[in-house]
Amino acid sequence: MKAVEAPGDARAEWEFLHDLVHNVTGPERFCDD
Amino acid sequence: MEISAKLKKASEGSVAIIASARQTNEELWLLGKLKARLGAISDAVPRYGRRRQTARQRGQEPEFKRRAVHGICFTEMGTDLARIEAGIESGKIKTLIVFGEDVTKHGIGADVLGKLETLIVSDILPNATTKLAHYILPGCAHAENAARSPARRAASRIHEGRRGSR
Repeated sequence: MKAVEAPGDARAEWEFLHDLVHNVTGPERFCDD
Repeated sequence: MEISAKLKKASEGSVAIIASARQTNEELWLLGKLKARLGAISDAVPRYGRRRQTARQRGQEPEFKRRAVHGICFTEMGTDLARIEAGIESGKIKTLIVFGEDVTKHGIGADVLGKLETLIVSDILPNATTKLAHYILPGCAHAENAARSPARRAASRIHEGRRGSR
């Protein structure tokens, strides 16, 4: 639950990063280290 | 998608990442993954001054160690910012990814940023760096994020209470 709804296309930074990592590295990169 | 396609095409060593000391472990972990994939140089902008800490946080590792664990900076934050600036100046670094910082206040001026082929910036408010960005990722402010921390959960409860009283 959000206290305030973000305006426009604003999203949490981790969501942008998650999409970026997913698209650039592929889903398998989330599993290894 | 367009940003991802550009990053996929970037050659190793041509990308730099500047993180913020205010970022969470999860965000830094993701940035670390991106850095590893792109073979990027990275650093975090240091924050100075006293910080309120809980008793639990006082027993934890210092901030710089946390960032070093994720591979974002070396032993201290900010030591590679000059190297990143020199890389942009020389044309070696063509893409810069900045999260939550106005780097023009930390030694990388607008004239230097203007030399980049791609500048990707995520921030919650406009600043001198976002003005020069080719791609802006509009981040959420504290209260706009879904409840994750005790403070956020408390904010949500207040919001819920207000809604319930209407």
